[in-house]
Amino acid sequence: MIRIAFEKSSTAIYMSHLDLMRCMTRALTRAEIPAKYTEGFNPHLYLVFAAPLALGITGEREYFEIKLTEDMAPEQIRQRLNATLPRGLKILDVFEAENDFNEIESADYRVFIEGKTAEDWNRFFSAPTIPTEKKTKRGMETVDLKAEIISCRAEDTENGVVLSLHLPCGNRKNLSPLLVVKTFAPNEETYYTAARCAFFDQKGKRF
Amino acid sequence: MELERLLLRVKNPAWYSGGELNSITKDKNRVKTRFAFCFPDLYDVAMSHLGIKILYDILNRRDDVWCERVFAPAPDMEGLMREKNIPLFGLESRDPIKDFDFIGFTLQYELSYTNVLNMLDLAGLPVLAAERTDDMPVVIAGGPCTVNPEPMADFIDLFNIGEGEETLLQLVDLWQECGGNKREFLEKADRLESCYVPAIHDRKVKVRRRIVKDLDRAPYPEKLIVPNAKAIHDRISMEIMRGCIRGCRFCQAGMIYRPFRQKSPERMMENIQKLCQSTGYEEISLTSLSSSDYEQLPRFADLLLDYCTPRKINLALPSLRIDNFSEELLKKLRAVRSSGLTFAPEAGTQRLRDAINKNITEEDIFESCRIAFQGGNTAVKLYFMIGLPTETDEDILGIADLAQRIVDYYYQLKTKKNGKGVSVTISLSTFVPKPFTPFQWEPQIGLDEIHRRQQLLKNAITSKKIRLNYHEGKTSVLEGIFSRGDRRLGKLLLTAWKKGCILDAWDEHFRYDLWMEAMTECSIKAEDYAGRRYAYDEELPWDVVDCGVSKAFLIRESKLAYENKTSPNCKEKCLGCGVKSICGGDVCDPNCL
Repeated sequence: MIRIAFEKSSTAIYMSHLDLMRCMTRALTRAEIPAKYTEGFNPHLYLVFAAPLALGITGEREYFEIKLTEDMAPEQIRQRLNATLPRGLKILDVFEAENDFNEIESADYRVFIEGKTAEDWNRFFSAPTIPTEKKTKRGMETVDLKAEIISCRAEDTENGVVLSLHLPCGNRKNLSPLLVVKTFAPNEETYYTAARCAFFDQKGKRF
Repeated sequence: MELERLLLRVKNPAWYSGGELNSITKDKNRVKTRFAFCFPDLYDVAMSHLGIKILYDILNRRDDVWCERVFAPAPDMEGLMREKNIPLFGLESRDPIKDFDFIGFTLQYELSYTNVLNMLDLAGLPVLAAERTDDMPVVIAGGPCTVNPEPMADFIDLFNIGEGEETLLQLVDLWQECGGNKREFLEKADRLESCYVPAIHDRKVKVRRRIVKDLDRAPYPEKLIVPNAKAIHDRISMEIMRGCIRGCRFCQAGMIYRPFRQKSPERMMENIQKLCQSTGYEEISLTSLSSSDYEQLPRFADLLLDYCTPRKINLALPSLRIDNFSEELLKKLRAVRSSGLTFAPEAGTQRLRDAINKNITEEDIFESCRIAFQGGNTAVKLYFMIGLPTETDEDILGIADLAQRIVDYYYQLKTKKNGKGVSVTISLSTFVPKPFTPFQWEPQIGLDEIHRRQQLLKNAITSKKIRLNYHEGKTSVLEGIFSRGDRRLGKLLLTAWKKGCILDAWDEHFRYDLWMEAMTECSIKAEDYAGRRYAYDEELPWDVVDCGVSKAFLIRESKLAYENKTSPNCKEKCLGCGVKSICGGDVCDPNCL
């Protein structure tokens, strides 16, 4: 299993997860990487992402995995892909995977929210519970942000607040930083940026 | 930047962000001419269009020209742009297009006309050509609708009629020669064969549609922009030929893209290899008006399959004609992957199929169905039209009857797989009379009559295996008005747009009530345009354009329709349609086919 670390920024942040999968599939084709296809009537490229990244969020170090049908040096894969990716996507490194994406438990996010202060956040976060509506497969559900957020820190900057959020991420439990933003700053005109910085396993070990 | 602040507030930010693979960025200080290529509809539709890709490539091959893409924003984005005073911009540079040299629109369908007005307004320019000053960009238009330029004449400075591969570069050259003097440019451009400057053109001088004689020599892109957000047709389009040897009497494309020209398999394989390498697309669609008329199709299909199969690339082959649909070819295509089958008999009875010169017999239809069913297909989609000249209720009932007999045929064949039922989908559209067709003088049926005939068909279908899809009909009426319209319609467009009519091709945005209001205010009646029989000897709004096909030919064909008589296709016999006058006779000679 070959793991590929990449960055998603600039205009590429407006790609949805599905768009990104299509984009990477085509990039692997263009770069002539000997990537393995699934068997069956409707074969498609074997391609697994660590965790979907919502449209609009920057990914500082995201991952996907492929299987190879013949050997190719990691550095060659990196260079070939980087020569053919659209603006905002960049391969950081390529290596043999030593663990499984299923082990991902949490992720770090950095969120900037314009016009808000650390004090605003601390007041917001000091409430005993912070109920909010979350869209799930079963419909809308009420969740308690306070209980879901693993840890957080707020710092003032010139024109807003920067939140460092540690949130559950992965198959078992997941919380989008955008839900935090929408609950904290519900005005739809509020300008924000969000980035996912790192993934962690259950023991807090960085991916 | 201001734009970034808005993008996360709209539904499809990737439609406005730019940055796609193979989009072209240049240093604006090092180019002489900036061109905004506008497709007046939403991104996912616009990015599916082949013409824009060809012309984007041709313009950008020149170092001194920078062509960018501009599309109609969806209402959510438009609202924010207006609120924040962000003028319409080019996707590549994000610079306002009001500072460009050219703003070029492609007019592909009448229902995009209000979007042109809206885009000019969003750019910060007056929508009326007469109100734009000499320092504002030259607004030009091309595309199939411009064979009747009159309804849009108030808004466009210059129409470029016909295929733009060569003429667009001539216009850029002329613009540079004139040193950007718009008035001088328009005067000189109006004297070019294919150009029409409505403000100054002498209607006695015919504007001649330009064509590219040799498709093998015409430039074809080596790279295509790969959208970040899925386009409707997100794949490689390979144009295999232009023009059509058939002479279906309702079909404008079959007339205005004459003569029939084919590309060589070798040249196309060259194109395809480059495009596959530069895009990574997993599907190739062969585009033409009637793919199965491509003479070297079996050989080309072999070449294609040899290339595509090991690379797991799908082939899509639309516009296959029912009559020469070959069993072997189907098998080959299925070797890669196949979707359901679509045929276009257009009319339900042989009498009417003869009248419209759709040279398809019932045997052809059933033979094609047999091949399809025995090949394992169980879904058949059939295209029909209502409102065709000479149509009677019997013809409409014939559609239901034909569909039913196809269903029955499936069960008779006994090749059906266990548990698999057949599904026949009828896709019904309404006939719209179009300029430069033998039916250009015909009246269109009115809205009530459209509804009555739709209902008649609906009630005649009893099987649950048959599905009927049709459009309500109001948009067809509007198309009917504009396709044969004259310059007075400019006022109607302006009024309707001011009332809020945009994106008329989209059900969720189409506002027939506002169109009705606008028509009342402008004293324009549908019956005077769509619903009227034009006379053979009447001066037609589009008489200023010479498309190649002569009026005498169109009248001959029109009369044959009333005798239910078919005409041979170009391969069988030259009917003297007149297109030789613009192609010099060396292209469409039947011996060359």
